[in-house]
Amino acid sequence: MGTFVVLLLMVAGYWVYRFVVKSIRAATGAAVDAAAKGVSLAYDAHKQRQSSVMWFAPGAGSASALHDHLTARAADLGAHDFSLDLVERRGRQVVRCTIAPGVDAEALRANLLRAARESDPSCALLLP
Amino acid sequence: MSQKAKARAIVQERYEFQTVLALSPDGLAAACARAAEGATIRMGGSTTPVKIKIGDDGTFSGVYAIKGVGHLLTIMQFVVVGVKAPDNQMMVKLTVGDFLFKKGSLGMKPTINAGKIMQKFVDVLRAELAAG
Repeated sequence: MGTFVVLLLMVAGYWVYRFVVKSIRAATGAAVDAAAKGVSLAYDAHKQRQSSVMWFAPGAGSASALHDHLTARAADLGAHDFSLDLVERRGRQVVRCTIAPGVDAEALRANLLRAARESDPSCALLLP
Repeated sequence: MSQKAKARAIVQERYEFQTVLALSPDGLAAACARAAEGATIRMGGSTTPVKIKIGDDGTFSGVYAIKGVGHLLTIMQFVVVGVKAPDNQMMVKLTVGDFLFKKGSLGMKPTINAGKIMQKFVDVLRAELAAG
């Protein structure tokens, strides 16, 4: 009788232990998932607030001609959304475009590239 | 969900896309070449074309590989396919094949190796396709 009770207690103890461990693991996992999601959202928001940059490298033409052309077209493309300047990158002159925070970079990239191709069909878009 | 499945879901969400636009196979090949040229990181890796094929029936298929420093290790493979669509248009689809990733620990998401290079390729290609 005594042996049976001890065995029963051991089995019951094992199941209680298993339940407790599983509960702790589930709670910890959920907490870590929530924290990771929070960090990810905060990072995305931080990236949104940052201004992004891209460069246009001239092909056949010169960088200054490309810069002049894009500056002339800036009003049509939304002059408040970006700024242009002539810089040197990896040993060659390129046009740097700084996109203001919160602006849809993907649409602006395509529009600026289209405008740049009018002046220099072989110009290349470079991203950081 | 396994780590591999999580990584695959991230790759599908971030990099794979499909679009229909008026473009010739040569135009798509040129856009891919420009995107591959720009998709490189110093001391990080670069994108190299593995097999480019422009079919007589107006289709395009380009297999690309992102290789690590020294071009020894293939980190990711992907394919850009362009097939004819109605109204003289072309359906362009980018699909990622094999890729390497780092397992996420303590519930964090897996990290895709060469994700930044792939993002550059996708961003430049999308801009090139949108610009026409």
